[in-house]
Parts: sequence; structure tokens; C-alpha cells
Amino acid sequence: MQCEQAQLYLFEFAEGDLDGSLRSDIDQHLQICDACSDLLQGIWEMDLKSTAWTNINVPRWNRRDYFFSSRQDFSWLQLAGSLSSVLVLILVLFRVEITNNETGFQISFAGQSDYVSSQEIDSRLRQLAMQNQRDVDTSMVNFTSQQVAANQLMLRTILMASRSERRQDLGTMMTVWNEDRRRLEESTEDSLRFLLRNQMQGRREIGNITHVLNTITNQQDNNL
Amino acid sequence: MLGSKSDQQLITRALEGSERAWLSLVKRYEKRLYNYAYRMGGNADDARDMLQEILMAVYRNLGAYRGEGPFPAWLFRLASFRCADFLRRRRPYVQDTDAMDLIADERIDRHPEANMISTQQNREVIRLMNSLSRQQRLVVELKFFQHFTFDEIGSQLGISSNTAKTRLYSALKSMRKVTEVSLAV
Ligand SMILES: [Zn+2]
Repeated sequence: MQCEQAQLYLFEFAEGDLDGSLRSDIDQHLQICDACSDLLQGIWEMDLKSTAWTNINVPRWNRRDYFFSSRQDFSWLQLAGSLSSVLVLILVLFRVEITNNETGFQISFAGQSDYVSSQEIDSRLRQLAMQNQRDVDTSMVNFTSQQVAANQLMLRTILMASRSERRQDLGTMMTVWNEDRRRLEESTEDSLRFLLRNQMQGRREIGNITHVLNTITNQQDNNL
Repeated sequence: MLGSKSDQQLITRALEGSERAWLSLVKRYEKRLYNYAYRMGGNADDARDMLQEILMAVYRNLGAYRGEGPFPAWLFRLASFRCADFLRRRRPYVQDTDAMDLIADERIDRHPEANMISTQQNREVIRLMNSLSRQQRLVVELKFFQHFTFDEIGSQLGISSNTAKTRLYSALKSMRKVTEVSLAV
């Protein structure tokens, strides 16, 4: 057995989750391999240290104030559902591709192949915001429900929020959204169907937003 | 536990607008998250800030949790992302010895009521975690302290489970070096 193969199962070996020939193969390898034995030793040592950790109490803090008082102007919780749907719709309809990695996330607009670094996201989003702001404003005026006004506010919030807030919102949404998308086929239709099924608000609202965003997308395409 | 609501029940109530349900959910997970943040950040101030940022992210995105997997897995996916983001933004890290002084100072002067880094073992863990890169530290945390599987860790960090494993081994190797050095001194 080679080191590479042994190390594939070393953790399971350490936890006693292996049996049969695999276990004895690794056992044999460990007899003759210092590197893998060291690793196994490392696993056991760290395991010991982690169980010796004493949980530290959370310092006193005012949870109610933190979550509710400072955010009276904007109730995120109630809008959380529509926040994700609007953002996903934007991403789907504008064909925004965002990939998440450890150094940040990369973003590309409307199928353009040039990927931009996380530092450039800010200016790209600002461009997008300026480009779309008037369209969003005029199209959204047609809707009367409060929820739509809230969606409009959210669009603006996302696009016009401070750099760090936007990065945070986008970032957390990406984490959630990418995972969802991985489970589905990567097609617009599926994403939309998925959203419709899971929407907290009614189908009609989503239909409206889709229509608006489609209009904007078409206008954008015409402009190009 | 009799009478205690499930995560899903609390989430549903919170999304309906119940502040109490949300705060119950916070109380249920904050200690686990705070200790996670403490080991990742290495000091009490960063741990508190990180805890609040993580919980705010959960608060804002709770509507996106669809009960497809256990809530902790979803929670730690957000936590890992926000934690990496936090550490990336943080000032360049203070040296090992300084960090130890900081912990001692805080314990005496600033948070006398809390049992900060109460044991020698906790100090040792913080020292070892500090010696690792952010990515290594995260994998060690998720494996040894949160007990996620490599598949879960991979999906939380957006890497393959084999990459997660390799990263854990490289972390173990470098921690062993740190231990050997300190034994030799
Ligand atoms: Zn070997």
C-alpha cells in the first residue's frame, strides 16, 4: 500500500471505522512508514486536545437591541425570503455567474467570459446599478403593492449599499444559492421553477418581478 | 427534551415574525458559535464580533433555509463563509506571544466575570490554531471540534472532500512541528 492510499483512510482508521483487509493493510503500512505513523499520532493528539477544550461562556450582550432596535427602518427578517428570490432572479436573468473561492468570489456579467476579481466587483456592480436604476424605477412604479416597493428598496439596497455590506450580503447569498443550484440542473428554467415552488410570497409577485427583470434584460440587450 | 421546540419550529415562528423564537434560536447556538469563533479568531474581542456577524448573516438569510439538511450544517456553512471573510478583513495578526499576553490581560482587566481561556488546555489549543493558516484552521475546527464529515466540510467550504482531507493533514503536520519545537525549547 502507498502513502497516498493509506492517508485516504487514515482518519477512519484512527476512529476505528475500518475493518477487514483494509484495516490490516493500513496497519501493515504504518509499521513501515514513519510519515503516516506521524500523521496518525497527530490525529490522536489533536483529538485529545479538542476534547480537553473547556467551553467559554458568551459575554453578556443585548441580543434584542442588536437584532431589532437598530434595524427598525428595514425589517430584514420579513424580507429575507424575497431578498433571496430577487437576488437569484437578478443572477439568473442577468446571467451573472459568481464563483466562490477562498480568496473571494469572482463574477461575470451576461455571459461575458472575462472574470473579474473581488476588488472589481464593486465598480462592476455600480455600473450595473447606474445602468439599471432608471429602468428599475420606472418599471417598478407600475406596481402598487407595498411588497413591490419593498423589493425595489431591496434592489436599491443591494446595489447601493456600502461596499462591505453588499459584499457580505452577496457573499452569504452566494453560499446559499450555489448550494441550491448544485442540487438542481444548471438551467434558468429549473431555478425559476424551484423558486416558484418555494416562494414565501405568491406566484404572482414573482411573475411580476420576472416580467420587470425580463423587460430590463431585453432593453439591456437592445442597448448592446 | 420535553417542551423544547425543534430548530425547525423556531425557524418557522421566527420567519412569521416572532422575536422570541429568533432569540431562542440564538441562545441555543450562540455558545457553540462563540467557542468556534474564539478558536478561529484567537481572542475574545474578535470572537464576539464574529459571533454577531455570523448571527446577523443567519438572521438575514433565514428565509433561505429550506430544511433540506440539518440546521447546524446550514448554520456552519454561513459561519465558515463569514468567518473567512472576517479574518480576511482583520488587521494582520498579532504575534503568538502578544496574543497570549492579550488573553491574560483581558482575563484580569476587561472581562473579570467571564471565565476567559480558563484552562491551560484552552491556551494550548489557541496557540496551535494560531500557528495555522486560516484555511487549515477552519478544517481543523470543523473536523475536530464540530465533528462534521469530510463530505460536509467539503460542501461547506466549496472544496472536494479529498482536498479537505489533504488540508487537514497538512495542518496536523505543521501543528506537530510547533509542538516539537516547544518541547525542545
Ligand atoms: Zn505512508
